[in-house]
Amino acid sequence: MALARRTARTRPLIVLLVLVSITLVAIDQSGDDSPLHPIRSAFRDTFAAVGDGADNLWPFGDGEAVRRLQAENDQLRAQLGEANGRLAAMADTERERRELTALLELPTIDNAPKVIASVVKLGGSNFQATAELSKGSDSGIEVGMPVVTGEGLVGRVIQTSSTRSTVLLVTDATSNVSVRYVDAGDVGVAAGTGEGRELRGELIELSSAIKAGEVAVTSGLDGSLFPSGIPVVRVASTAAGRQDLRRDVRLEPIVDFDKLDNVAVVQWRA
Amino acid sequence: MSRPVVRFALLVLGAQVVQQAVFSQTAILGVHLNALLTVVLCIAIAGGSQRGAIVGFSAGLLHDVFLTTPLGASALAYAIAGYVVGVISDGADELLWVSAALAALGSVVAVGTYLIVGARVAQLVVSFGDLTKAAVVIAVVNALVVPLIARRFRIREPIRREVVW
Repeated sequence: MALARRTARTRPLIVLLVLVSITLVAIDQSGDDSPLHPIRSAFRDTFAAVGDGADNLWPFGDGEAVRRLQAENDQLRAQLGEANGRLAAMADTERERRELTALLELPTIDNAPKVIASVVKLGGSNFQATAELSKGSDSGIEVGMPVVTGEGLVGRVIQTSSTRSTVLLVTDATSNVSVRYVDAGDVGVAAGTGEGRELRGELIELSSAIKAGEVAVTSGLDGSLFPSGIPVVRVASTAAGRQDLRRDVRLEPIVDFDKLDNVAVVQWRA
Repeated sequence: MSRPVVRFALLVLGAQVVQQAVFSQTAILGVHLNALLTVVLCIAIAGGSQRGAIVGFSAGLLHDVFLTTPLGASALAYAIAGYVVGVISDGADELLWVSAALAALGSVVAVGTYLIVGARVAQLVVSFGDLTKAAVVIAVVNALVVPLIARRFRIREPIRREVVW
């Protein structure tokens, strides 16, 4: 009896909480334009400040960070030498690309200003592939801006606060990037399938000459969320699709997300 | 403010700090654990449905601030989980295995509700395999941890059992 009375007493409470939650969800659906955005932003910034302070006090982080940086430095030196050689060979190709891009009037990121930010958190959600950056709207970052590294495309900004921004990675299951395969010339979509997984190449005809190892860059076509020419993925494997007339293309991201430290947010709007 | 309110607020804030500093950076079988949900389930088991629902709502709202899904999605999920677990635990025996089963149930309810809301309003795309893995890992960990922690802060008001002659 007492239990039944108690349950009856709390029923209006849970109904009220459910209604408040649904109202909040409905109000906040518009993302950064939501009236609740300033409150959310203020909380995130406050916790970000606390987190930064805690990181500075953490006694075990520095040694590990130095070792990791040293190893990374050695690796980077080796890569730099290799890249210098390739750069010389690519100079002519690059000049040709610029001329063609100008002829096609495709937008590129070459001249767009960039904001350099560090990745403070990678992942953190079980159902979305995201990264949190150390800079936000105070530094000129806006929702929709592309995020890149020297290697290629990381993703696009989907949420900002004054001092933080969240990037949806190209590997996320909701991410679709319009790409052009550089050797075959085909245009398709690189669709994410989830954090840490390969991407799926979509809209590729059976007759396509795409082959493993080929790089795909952002197409920059009308309506595309990204400017053209940013490397996105490399073809891991390709085979005739079983069920339709498309090729089954598996793609691996160009960017190594496990080693993501610093990124550039391109101040470019679609 | 009364002492329990301050205590719960500190617990929830502490859990959020742990979530940000530890659990969001580490994963078990690719699944990030959820310190806030663990606290909500502990309070629901130890304190009943009313506390479970209120703390669940507050903790979920705080968690929502750091997610990209709309504000209120986790609040709804945790409030329902806290309420359901609280209602069942109000009439259940205070045995460890009962608390473990309730913690597992609450975890599945929270993950499932969050995903339903996320898929409806934020277009979250999650495969059945990923959903199952996340629900199972979180449920198993909470089933192991929650009964031990919940015993530490037993705050339930005693149920006055009516004697029928």
